[in-house]
Amino acid sequence: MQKFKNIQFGLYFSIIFFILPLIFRSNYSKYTLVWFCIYCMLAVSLRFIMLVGAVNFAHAGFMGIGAYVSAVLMMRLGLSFWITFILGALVSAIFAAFFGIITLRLKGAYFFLVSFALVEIIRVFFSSYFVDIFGGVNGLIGVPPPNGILWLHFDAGSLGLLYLIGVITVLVLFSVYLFEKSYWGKVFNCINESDNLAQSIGINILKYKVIVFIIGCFIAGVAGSLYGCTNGVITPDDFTYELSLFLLVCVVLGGMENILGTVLSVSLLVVIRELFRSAAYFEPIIWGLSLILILLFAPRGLFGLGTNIFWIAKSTFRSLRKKEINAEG
Amino acid sequence: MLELVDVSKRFGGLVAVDGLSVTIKNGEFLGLIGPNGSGKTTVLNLITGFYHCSSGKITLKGESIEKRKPHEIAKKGISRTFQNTTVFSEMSALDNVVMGIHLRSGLNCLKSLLPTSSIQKIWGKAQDSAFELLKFFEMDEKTHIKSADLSNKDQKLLQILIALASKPQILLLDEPVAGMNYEEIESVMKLIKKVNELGITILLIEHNMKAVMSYCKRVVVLDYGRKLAEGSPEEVKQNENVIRAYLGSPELIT
Repeated sequence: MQKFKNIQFGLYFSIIFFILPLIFRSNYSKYTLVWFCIYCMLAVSLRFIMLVGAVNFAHAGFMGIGAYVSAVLMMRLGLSFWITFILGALVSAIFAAFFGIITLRLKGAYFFLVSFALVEIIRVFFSSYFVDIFGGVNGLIGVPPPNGILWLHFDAGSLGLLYLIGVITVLVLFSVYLFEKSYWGKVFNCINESDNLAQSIGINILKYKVIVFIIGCFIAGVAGSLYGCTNGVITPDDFTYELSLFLLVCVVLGGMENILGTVLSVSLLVVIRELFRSAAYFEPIIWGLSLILILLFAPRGLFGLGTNIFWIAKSTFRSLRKKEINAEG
Repeated sequence: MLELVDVSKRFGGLVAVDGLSVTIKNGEFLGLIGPNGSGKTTVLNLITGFYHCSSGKITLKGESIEKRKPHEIAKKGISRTFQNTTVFSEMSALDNVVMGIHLRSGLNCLKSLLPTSSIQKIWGKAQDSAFELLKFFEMDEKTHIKSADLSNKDQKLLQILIALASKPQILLLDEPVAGMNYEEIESVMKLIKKVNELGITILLIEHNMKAVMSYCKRVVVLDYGRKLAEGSPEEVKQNENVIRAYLGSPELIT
């Protein structure tokens, strides 16, 4: 039952998503929807990695690798987008494999710290090394949009590109959902809950963690190359810890229970982000603060918050009634 | 069957296990006792690969296993439970046992990513055999309760079931009756004995003297990581070293 409900909700969500740009036809709303898609992919893949208990703060960095590789291949070698976006994601995944095999032995906060260092290393690498290829601090300007196929056109700001990204997002979300609901999802749960017990029943935890990490970073790479195409410009500063922090807030707010929670929280936070565009300088402070608040008051995220409020209301109602009865007695 | 030869483990300056040699025979019910900090759990961690020996050799049926990782050792047929009760607390009791079958359920493959009918069938089969196991431990009424909501005794039993689910040759139990009252201890020990009668070798670490003395055929006593005594419960009870190190005066045992 639960399974079908989730799929139903997902379907409604994507139908609403695909109708929205037909109603709001301005360029601005189109771009907002594209950001929503890209953040969705990123947040969902980050949550996917967090299923095995690894908080990957370098997620923005892996997105950057995807974006840069894909953009460089398109601009310097003139390859078609359809090849480069796969290649970009693959390079991101390969790099994730190297990084993961070494560092995923670390637990909890230690892995978090290493990944925090990695995201800075990636940023410094793109801004200071191979300046003639990666464009240094200025980044790459004029990343071409995907080439059209037959009568379909994907120029920047066009409906075609929006729908293309939308379809890729839905595909990504659906495959992650399948992954999670399968037996593998249970294994991930086991690893997250107790890696000692998981090992003792014969689960090779490093293997599973690395696989999950590679898949998550592959998705981040896909999101990165799509980001480059829509924005047209990529700079090293697009892929810093600030983006990772935003993604982390999305995942924590969405809760770990349901993938739709993450989608909901991303849509909420993207809107909030757009509303507070003028306060962009304070963004890290805002996200950091909200992360603490969420962890304090709704540790299980949006869904948890709902049930929490329900329980609080119920228990206060009960205690009030008790008082009434006592007063009467 | 399982042989520890001159095994030592040092944590920095502390010698937790010091030149220990123990042989566990096939089908045996061996008790491992000793005062707090005598290195019992360390021995268990060494056997299951959570720690690696500083020196010495551990062999299972002649094959050396001291350099293996925990999941590889689980594959060789050695299962264990943990001292602090560890179950997958967010899952139901049934799912816990299904996860215990991980190694032999056939779900551990790429195919299980898609909800195809053949996978559903294997899944159903795994659930059936998990249910059988729960029934064996008289827990069939609690299959769908979230394991965090189970009582201490049931969680301890569930832990043993998770370990049993992989059909091990040797079962290592780390204080399976800690924190239970007399009747609970009796019923759990009887179940463990039933498991032993199925032909599964059992190594039991326990603080409860009465349980060890009345159920184990052979007892090994550790103190400061060294073997103090070995033999039948009666022999151990009479051993002067043991009495001095651990049990106090002999009247207290019975």
